[in-house]
Amino acid sequence: MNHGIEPGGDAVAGLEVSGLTKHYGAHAAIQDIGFRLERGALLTLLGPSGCGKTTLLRSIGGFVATDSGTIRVEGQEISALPPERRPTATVFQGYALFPHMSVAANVAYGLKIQGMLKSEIAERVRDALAAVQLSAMAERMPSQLSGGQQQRVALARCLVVRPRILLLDEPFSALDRNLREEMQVELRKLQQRMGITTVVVTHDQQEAYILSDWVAVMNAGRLHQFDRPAGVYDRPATRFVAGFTGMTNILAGHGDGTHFIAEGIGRFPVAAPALPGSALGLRPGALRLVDPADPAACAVGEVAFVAMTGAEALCEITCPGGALQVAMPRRDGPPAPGALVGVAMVNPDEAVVLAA
Amino acid sequence: MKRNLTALPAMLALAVLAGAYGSFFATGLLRQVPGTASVAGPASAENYLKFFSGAGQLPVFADTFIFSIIVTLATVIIGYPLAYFIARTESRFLRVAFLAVLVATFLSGSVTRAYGWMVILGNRGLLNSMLMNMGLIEAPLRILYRQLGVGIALVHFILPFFVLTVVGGIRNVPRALEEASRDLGCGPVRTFAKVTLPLSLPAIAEGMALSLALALSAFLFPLMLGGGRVRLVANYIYDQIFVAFDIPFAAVVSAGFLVCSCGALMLMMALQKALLRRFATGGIGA
Amino acid sequence: MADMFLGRRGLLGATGAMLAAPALAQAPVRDITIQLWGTTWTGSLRQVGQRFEQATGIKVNAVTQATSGEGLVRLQSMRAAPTIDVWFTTSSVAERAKTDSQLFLPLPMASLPSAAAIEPGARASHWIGVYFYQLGIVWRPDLVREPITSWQDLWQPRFAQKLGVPTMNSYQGRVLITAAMLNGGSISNVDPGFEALKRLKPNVVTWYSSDTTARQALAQGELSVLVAPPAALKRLSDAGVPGRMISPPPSPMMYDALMLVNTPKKEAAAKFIDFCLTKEMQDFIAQGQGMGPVHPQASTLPEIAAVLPRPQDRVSFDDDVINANIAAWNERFNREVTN
Repeated sequence: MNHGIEPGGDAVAGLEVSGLTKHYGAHAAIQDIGFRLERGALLTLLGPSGCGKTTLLRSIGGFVATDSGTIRVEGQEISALPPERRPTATVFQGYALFPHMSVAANVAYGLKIQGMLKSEIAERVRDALAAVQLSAMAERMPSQLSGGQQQRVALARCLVVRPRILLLDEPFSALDRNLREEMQVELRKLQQRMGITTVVVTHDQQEAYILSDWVAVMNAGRLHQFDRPAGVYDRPATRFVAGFTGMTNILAGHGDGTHFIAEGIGRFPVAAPALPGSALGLRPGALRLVDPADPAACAVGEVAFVAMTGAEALCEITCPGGALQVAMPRRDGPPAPGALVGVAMVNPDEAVVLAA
Repeated sequence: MKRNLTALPAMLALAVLAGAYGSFFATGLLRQVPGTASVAGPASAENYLKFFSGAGQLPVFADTFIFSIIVTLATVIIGYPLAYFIARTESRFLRVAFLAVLVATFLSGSVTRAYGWMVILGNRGLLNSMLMNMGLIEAPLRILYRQLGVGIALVHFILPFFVLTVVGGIRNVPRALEEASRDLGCGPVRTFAKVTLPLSLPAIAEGMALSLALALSAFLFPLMLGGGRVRLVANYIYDQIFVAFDIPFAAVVSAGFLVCSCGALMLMMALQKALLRRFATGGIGA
Repeated sequence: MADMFLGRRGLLGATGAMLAAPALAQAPVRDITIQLWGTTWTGSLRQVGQRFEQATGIKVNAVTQATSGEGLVRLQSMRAAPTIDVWFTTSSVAERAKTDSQLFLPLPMASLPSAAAIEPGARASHWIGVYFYQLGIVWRPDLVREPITSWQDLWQPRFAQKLGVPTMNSYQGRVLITAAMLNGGSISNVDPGFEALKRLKPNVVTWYSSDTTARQALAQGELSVLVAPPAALKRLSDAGVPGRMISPPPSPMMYDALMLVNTPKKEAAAKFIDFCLTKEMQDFIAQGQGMGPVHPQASTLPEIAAVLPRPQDRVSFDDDVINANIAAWNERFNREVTN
């Protein structure tokens, strides 16, 4: 499993977490989490709700006292420090702007604490607001801003203190879709320009792919995969990651060296070792429909139903041992339900053999 | 039209209350029949002139306001940390236990409590015996039959009202705001001063107004625990009725005190608004 | 004319019927209500009421008052239709109250056969004393080493923070007048009294307005000395605490008295007042309250009888003068003495 630092990369990680565990009573919110993230990279913690991603983020920010494990920022151990002494800054879910202070006062907050000169504070606040395109809103109160504007203020309030780690908890979940995409791009640009090591919590895999240098997929308190976005999508490390990233065909069976035999479904030309209890993962787009008699056909079955999903049609094919989902361009003319069809692989490289 | 109808019960209640004060005012125009407890006309402004000449009641008014303000401040100083703890403790058990103890004090009557305080605060009471046994004092502290004793009983009486008002206000301050402040480099104490306190200020002001109103109207504790030395306006009015049998003058004093109390409460509200405006531009010590 | 005459007669007849109607329709009185202090009710009057019910079938209900002043104001608030038939008050407040002729009835002496035997000082036009008492000095010998022999003793430094003394309102100014008399003043010259009370301040723990709390404070040892009637001594012996009392001259005497309220039940109420004046009930009330009986043949507890003042030491004050001045005295007392 790749843990974030490319071979030959930075010797000192921007963020390094190891053995991090937190229990609430008997329930393990996070368990033995470890990874290394290079300086200036953006990591997304991806997983369903309750997977522990927010607990992990809050552990880094200092709001959760972990049971064991260490957190290092640029080599400095911070796990024993209170939040105010950590070199982290968080954009909270819901933004947590101070409602009794103006936009400018919100952004100036962290600088005033540091006891910076008034003139310098003013300059940095001006720059930060300019960076998030909110210069005109400086004297407004948070309640007078839209959701997107509030988020920019929250971001500016963090960036202005120049943290070494920027943490964002579901930053875009409250925004409508168009604004969300715009803000995702904006965040990515800003983060790259400032070169700040960043961790984002999300349950939206699309968002994770768009934003990230690295993605950490979590489930039930455990880290399942730490990888590049493409790695997560193309080579899911576990059945959970496969399922979570939309790999809907997970076929039980075993390999024989040259093929994977999916019981009751068919033989797929994938080089797989002869391990019992393994599974073959295939995205609907990695399969195509062929004539039942076509030699390329790996499986044969009956079309159960056809659903339109946009430019594509999704077909469910019933085989004796289970069902297969196949996506195809609608222009290719989807079959009628009840027809007998063969299923072939588009590219054997797109299949993943998942261990037990 | 519909809105007017739904407001009707409230208007009616208000009208009855206003009517009561109206009758105070009107009664104040009559006169006591000397040597009796009776009231008779004709209407004159004599009692009002006597009130504004102020000889009798002025020191009592001043004492009452000073005493009530001290009691209110003590309530805030003790009550706010208590409210903060109840609002912010992670332990459900402790929260429920503290609230239960507070609410339980509602269940005992004032007379019972006054007797309880006599047992606790007296020269041979629990507190003095304890302090003497611990060797902290040689002679008992005189607490009962003094302002201090009345003040302690009154603060204890008012505390639940204040705390229950303020707990809600503190719980309405999202914890994420405190976390955001910590996150931006602000320690717990300054976070409290710059975020939690200003945002719970409206609730504090509300609780203080309630406390002040309760302290200003105190009657039983000064009577029972004051040893004749603590005389607040309510006791003064009581004496006008039940000792001097001068009901018209009592009515005038009541009306006058009502006006003063409303004035004090309005002053507090104005102060609160001013403070909020001040905080809006950046918090304490900005 | 004839028609008119008949008409007028008819009208008069109808009015007469209307006036008579309530009386005719009225069922026999089943119960009467008495307003009194809680301590008096529990001390003896509850049982007097029970015996009265056994004797006459009329039940006696109680409404309590914190002070007789409060009782008077409550009665006045229900002047149109009082629900209280008999009122227990002090003779001073009774003198003030009797001017309210709509509320209080002169006592029907013809219906009070037992009243004839009562000592003359306890009888007035509108009230009749049920027991008498003096204001004296009650103390705890376990807390006061040297016995008290006179009023003047109270000013000694050895009583610093030891005394409970009635406020002006309690016992209607008797403390002030007594203090004035001790220092060359009188009821019409109370200035020496105020000066004396000011000098007493260092010794006073509480200027009390509630007998109950003051007696409890003495029983608990919160006070060592109480200026009080003999009932306070009885409260001590009831609590099993040693107590002594002296009634030094001048010994101000007071009555607690019954008044008849103007209600439809006035006959039954008068019957109850008479019942309280019988020798048997006089024994019972005096012993229950720890006060002196107003019936010459009745007797109180021996320890109370032992501390009753000698006849030549007794003084009583003009209630009209007290009533005319009590408000001003109270103001001055609060301004000069208690603050």
